[in-house]
Amino acid sequence: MTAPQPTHPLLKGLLAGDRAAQQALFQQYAGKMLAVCRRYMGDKAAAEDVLMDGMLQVFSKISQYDGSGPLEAWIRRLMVNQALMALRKQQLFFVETESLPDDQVPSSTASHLQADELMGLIAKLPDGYRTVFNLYAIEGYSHAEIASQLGISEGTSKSQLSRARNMLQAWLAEEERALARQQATNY
Amino acid sequence: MEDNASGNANPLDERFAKAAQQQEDNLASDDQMVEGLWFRMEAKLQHQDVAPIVSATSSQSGSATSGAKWYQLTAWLAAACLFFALGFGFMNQGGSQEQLAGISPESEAVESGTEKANEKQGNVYPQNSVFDLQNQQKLHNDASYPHENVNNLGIDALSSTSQKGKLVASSRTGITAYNYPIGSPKEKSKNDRLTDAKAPSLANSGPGIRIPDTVGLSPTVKQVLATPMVAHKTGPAADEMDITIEVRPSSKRDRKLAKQEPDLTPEPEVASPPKTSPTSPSWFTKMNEWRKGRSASESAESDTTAKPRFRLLRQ
Repeated sequence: MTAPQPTHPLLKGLLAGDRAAQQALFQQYAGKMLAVCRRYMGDKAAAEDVLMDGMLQVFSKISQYDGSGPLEAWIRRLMVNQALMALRKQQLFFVETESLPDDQVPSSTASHLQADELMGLIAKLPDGYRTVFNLYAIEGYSHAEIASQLGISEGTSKSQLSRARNMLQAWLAEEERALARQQATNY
Repeated sequence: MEDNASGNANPLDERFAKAAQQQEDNLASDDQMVEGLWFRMEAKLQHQDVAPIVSATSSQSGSATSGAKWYQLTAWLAAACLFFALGFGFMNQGGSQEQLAGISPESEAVESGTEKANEKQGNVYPQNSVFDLQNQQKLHNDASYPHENVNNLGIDALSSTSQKGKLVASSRTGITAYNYPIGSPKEKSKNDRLTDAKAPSLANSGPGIRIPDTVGLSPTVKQVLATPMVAHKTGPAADEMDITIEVRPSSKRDRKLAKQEPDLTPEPEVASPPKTSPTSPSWFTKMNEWRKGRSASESAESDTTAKPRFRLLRQ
């Protein structure tokens, strides 16, 4: 079985180093990738820096894209790796914590919060919690992959995820209570 | 806890995943923000074109590799220019310091290895710009005092082995000569002919010295040199020419004084006192005679007017 050939329309221009093709690719994926970077970095300026470096990696390594998956997934993976490298430079620190059983994780969510507010809660998480939560809950990595990528044990990855969930749940519950008090005062 | 590969069933995770997707869509639709980010990205790409950190692979390496070559070439050129500029700067600084310290650059150069090599080859001055400058100054000095520096009328400044035997000329002094070592037979014979044929004015006989118009002397100096002096050519060649100057009286009074014969008659000899012993009787008689004679001569001198014995002539 032969490997699938890349079929993206911009790929030819990107391989030739065409600036117009690079601009088109950037305009197509920069917004989404900036959101990815913001989730990991928790800071807009740092996220933009990671985006720039990540897009440079995309343009320089475009020849390594083999077409086995969507180009967007390949770019996203590069962006996540770039963000993890940046976090590693910032001395990303994982605190070993005991994992919590699933039944202790509250499942109620504040449905009234908007996407940006929820992302703001993720940005407030500690680096280790936020990284593992992003990798597991949003990107869909397994604990084994996270452990391998971050150089930590699977137990550490699980405990980081549990703590992140608890923290987020507590903040959401607080938001719920604040909303209830506001509704009570209105009536 | 369930593994993510088997599906994420946690509602909290799902909620945040949906929020993340929504945020991505929101940012992707923000064209203005994306446009601003592209300007930054383009600047970074242009910077990357000249800084070769991008790995050159397959057909994509075209612009980055050529940019890297230009960058290297520019860097080398800049480094070379800086090196030469610093080198010239040090040279100029060294020369000025020597002059400030009172060290003659010429004497310094004589001690240098290059100058010694030139001396072995018969060269007096090396052929470089610094010494050309000095030679021009020397020519200027020679032109100011032509009667003192007949031997140096710009000829020695050009006497190198590479130009030996060539016809050289000094534009300031108007002197033309063959460039042989001074004193050599060839130089004498060639320059004799040249002096007779082309530069007779300097060694011309007759009243005064004829100064070529090209010599850098003021008209007053030329007039002074030309009016009361007579130049005699004692040697055939310009380098052997010796000028003797005879001063002639210019005014009538001076000429009248000069015509009078100087009174060079010596003073009459006065008898010396007797040398015999004062104890002898004849000594006293001789002493008296001598005193009489001396007083007589003194009275005779006092009768004459204060006429000088020797007249100092104006020389």
